[in-house]
Amino acid sequence: MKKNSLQYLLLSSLLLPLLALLVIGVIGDYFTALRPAVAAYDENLLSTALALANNAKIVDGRITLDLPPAADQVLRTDKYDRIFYSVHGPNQELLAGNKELRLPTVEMGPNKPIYYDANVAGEAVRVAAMRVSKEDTDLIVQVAETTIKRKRLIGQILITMLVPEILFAAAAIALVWFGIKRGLAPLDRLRAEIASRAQNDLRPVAMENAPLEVKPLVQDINNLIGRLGNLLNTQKRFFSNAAHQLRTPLAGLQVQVELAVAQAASPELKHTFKQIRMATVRMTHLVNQLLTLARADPGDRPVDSLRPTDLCDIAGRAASEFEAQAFAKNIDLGFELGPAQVFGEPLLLYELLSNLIDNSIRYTPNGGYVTVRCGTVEDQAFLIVSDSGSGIPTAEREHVFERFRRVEGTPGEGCGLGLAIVKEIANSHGASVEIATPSTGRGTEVIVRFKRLPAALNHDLPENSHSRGTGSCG
Amino acid sequence: MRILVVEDDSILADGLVRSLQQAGYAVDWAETGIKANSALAQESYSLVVLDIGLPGMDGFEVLRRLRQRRKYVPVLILTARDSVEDRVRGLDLGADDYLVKPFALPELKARVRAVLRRGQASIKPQINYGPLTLDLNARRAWLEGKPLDLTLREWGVLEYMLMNSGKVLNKAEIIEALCDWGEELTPNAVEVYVSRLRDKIECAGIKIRTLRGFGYLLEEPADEKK
Repeated sequence: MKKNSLQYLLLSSLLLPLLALLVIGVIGDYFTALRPAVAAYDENLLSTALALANNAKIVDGRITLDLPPAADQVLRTDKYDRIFYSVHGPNQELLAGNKELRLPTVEMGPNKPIYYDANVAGEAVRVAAMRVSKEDTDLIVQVAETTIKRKRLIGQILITMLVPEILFAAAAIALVWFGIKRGLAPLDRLRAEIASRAQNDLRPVAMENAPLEVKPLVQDINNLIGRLGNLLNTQKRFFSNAAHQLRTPLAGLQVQVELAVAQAASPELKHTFKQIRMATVRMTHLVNQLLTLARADPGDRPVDSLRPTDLCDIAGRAASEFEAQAFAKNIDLGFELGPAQVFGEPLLLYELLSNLIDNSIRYTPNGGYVTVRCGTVEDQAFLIVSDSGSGIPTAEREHVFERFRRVEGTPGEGCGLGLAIVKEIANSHGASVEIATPSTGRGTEVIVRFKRLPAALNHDLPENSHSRGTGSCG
Repeated sequence: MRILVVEDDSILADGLVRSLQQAGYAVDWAETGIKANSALAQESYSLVVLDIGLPGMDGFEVLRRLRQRRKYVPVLILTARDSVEDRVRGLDLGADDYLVKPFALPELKARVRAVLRRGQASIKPQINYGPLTLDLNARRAWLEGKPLDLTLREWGVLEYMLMNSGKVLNKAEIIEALCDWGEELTPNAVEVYVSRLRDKIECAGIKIRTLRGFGYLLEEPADEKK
């Protein structure tokens, strides 16, 4: 358990004082139970002392202790302890009993018993002492016993007290533990809810289920999420604006360079301008690709940007876009389009397809073919672009989707982002991309398989008024 | 023919103005939406090349006010934004065509010619297309000065293609354009008409390109590409 965990904090701040209280309780109880028990033994000792005093007689001014041997035996015998006694006269002289049982150091009033701990022959003893008057003579009677009985009693008291106290402590720990667990459960649920969120889900956390004490925290988290969302949006806008801002100067550059190419007087100058034009076209392509890649990033898109889209319409746009490029290379650009409804973002789907067609035209030699197909098989839409180009070696196929990856030894001026973009967009639409060889045995075939369209959407497709290529599936 | 170029980027504007001038057009330049708006209110233009991202009054607003004046001027929109929404908004406001920056100059010129041709057709019902001349009112055509014998359907296909030259037209669009001719057309029928048209006009150098399985594109006559 971590030092800064709430559970640890609660447990340590609750359990340690609880245990300390228990210990104090046990100690207190021990002494309250011990005092009467000890007092009972002390009284016993005192009665023996009184009996002894009764047996003291003064004969001819001398004090004698008339104790029959049997009584002496009884007096000295106990089940557990050894018993000592002593009787001292007014001049502190030992009249009878054990001489090692010395007089107490404290002053004693008449007929007031005192009890104290002492040592007799190296053994710890408890002593009951009393000053008694016998025919005007002051005697001090003492009886002592070893402490075995008393120690046994202490042991018994401790056991009978400690066992329930320990059980009580265990129960308290368990209750505190489960209480903390239960108390922290709403936090756990909150954590699980936040952890299970999609990467781009910046909706506020639901407040209703949060416990009262946690509500301010949730509110603050929501505020943070809100600020984060704003920041993200600002950054997104900045990025998008920056890329768009690049387009106008690029357009200016391109137009000026084309004018220069047309007007260049010398062949050398014309060559130079053509090179600049080529660089401009590549730069433009790269800017567009980067913009697309940023847009395709699922974390960078609102969750609700997807809409029902027909791949036919997307293919229709691509047809217009790539006709000239294909014509310039005398490539037969063909379409076999069937209805193919997907749930997606039209602009991104267009970028996916246009990158595939662009690649195919780029890497297919003059006079070849490029065919775009779409349709639906078993409720799953597909998009296929095949060409008669050089093909992609099997070993390279899993690597071509990496950013800035280009197949070695291929001609052309691609930036190596095309297939990465295709993959990224496919991923963000839950579609798979596979590279195969066309049935002719030559060239490349890229197959994009889309997820099954949710049934509810399939039956309730709105007229896509945004597409200009309506009916291209015909 | 007079063209108004509305573009705030001076380098791009300079390039556009010069290349359109070289193509034989008279060109004015407005660098803000407000200037463009007052120029359009006072002067008469054959075409406006309109940038959307302008400081102050943006291109959409210029277009909206232009269309409010109910004087038809064809508009070709230029924009750095390529979102579907922007495209649709421009076309909904009455733009005739749409080009995303950056673009190749030949592409721009081809679009300008096509939009101008459509604009001209609304004023003077005659289209000149290289060796081909179409009289839209009389529905008659001439090739290299000789009358061209066309059926009504062939004439319809040819007219639609001329109005949209340089653009890929899918068969469904062609069918839709001809739908007020009565009975339903099939894609196969379109193929037949196009094939017959080819036989009649390709001898004069006007080519119809095919996009396999999709549609057609009418090539521009060589003498129009400058």
